[in-house]
Amino acid sequence: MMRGLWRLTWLEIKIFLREPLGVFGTLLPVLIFVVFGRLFGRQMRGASTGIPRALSVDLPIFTSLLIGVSAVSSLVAIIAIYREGGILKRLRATPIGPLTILTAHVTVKLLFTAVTLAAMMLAGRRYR
Amino acid sequence: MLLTGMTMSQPVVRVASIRKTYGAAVAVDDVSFDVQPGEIFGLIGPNGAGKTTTMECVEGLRTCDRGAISVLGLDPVRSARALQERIGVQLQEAQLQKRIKVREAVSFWASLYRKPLNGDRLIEQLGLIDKRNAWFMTLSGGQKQRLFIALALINDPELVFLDELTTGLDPQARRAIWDLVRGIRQRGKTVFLTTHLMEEAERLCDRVAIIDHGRIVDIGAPSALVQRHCPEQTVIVTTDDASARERFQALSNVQSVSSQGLELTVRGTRGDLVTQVIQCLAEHRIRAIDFRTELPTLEDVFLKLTGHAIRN
Repeated sequence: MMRGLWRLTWLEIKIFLREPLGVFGTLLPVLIFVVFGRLFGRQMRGASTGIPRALSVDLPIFTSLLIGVSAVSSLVAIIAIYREGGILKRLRATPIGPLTILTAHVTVKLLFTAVTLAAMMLAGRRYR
Repeated sequence: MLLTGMTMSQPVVRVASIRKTYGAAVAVDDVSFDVQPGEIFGLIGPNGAGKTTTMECVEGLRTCDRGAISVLGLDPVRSARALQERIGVQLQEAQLQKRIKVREAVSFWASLYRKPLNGDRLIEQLGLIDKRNAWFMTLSGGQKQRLFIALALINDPELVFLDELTTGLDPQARRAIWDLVRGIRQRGKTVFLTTHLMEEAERLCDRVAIIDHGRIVDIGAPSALVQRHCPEQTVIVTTDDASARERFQALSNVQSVSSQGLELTVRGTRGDLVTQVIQCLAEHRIRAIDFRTELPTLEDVFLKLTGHAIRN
């Protein structure tokens, strides 16, 4: 059914890592998180839980922002660029289906969001 | 419509009075033609004449409003899946991902088809071996087009579509691409291309259909079209003999003589014109400094049939 899905996903992962903003964009949220954590993390401990604000409040906000940015802006931008550049049209003349292309891009976005989240959580361990 | 009387085996493409409108604008109107197996067929006309729309209807990328299209005996829209395995497509001004490598693109495309050709060999045949690890965005115009040809050939198609293949290329790259297209025909495939370059059509195509404002003006072999619509021939003689002009005008095949400095441009009907001019020169001992003949080209045919030049 989804012929070429894994190959396209793998290809898009490689292409994404070649983008100047690829690796940087994945790690930037972690950096921001660490910097903010360092600035405000220690002073503001939640009174009842004892968990640093950086972890209990900032991380969830960051997480939702991150997913939002990936889904709403990055994914849409990629599809728009692909459409404008005629890449989608060229792919339409091949046996690959539009759903396959979309699935591949969603998978890539999810994957890199997950990588960022995992890195953020690792970074947050120090506030435990 | 006049079709040159060739052997009419089952055509690879059959287009019967198709029409396509975008809102109020009629892009293609009552267009009909056949593409025969093993030929290079060209749809020629200026930008905006309806070439790409017609081709994309045949490729199954667009649906026409009226008329019928059959490609390899199948309906291009309803049998899109089955046809995709058997046709190769190069689109006008298409792009790939900026940072995809040549080799990655070819092997990805190969993975989409049931019986692909060897990608590495294809890369080599198209002269991209040095560029196989280069990103798409770093390729020159000619290299990009060669990559698109490779992608169009990867499934070993019976019919190849090439839309404005050499637009924007320098003359040298253009010639290299022409050789590649001839090579495709030599592999026994049928080529259907569009171009707004009359020279390209004349050198490459076995038959052409001239399209203007969405309508087919005429179809035939380039040389046949020239003979049919521009039967005149021109002889240009440079001479300092003052009597030459009158003597030429007296010849039976000559229609007009015009002069510019020492250069006399003699226009007339094909056939005996050259012989008559040469005989006249010899008979009256007219000293010719230079002598050349000019034949009309497809460009002249286009001008005559449509009343305007192809480049506006």
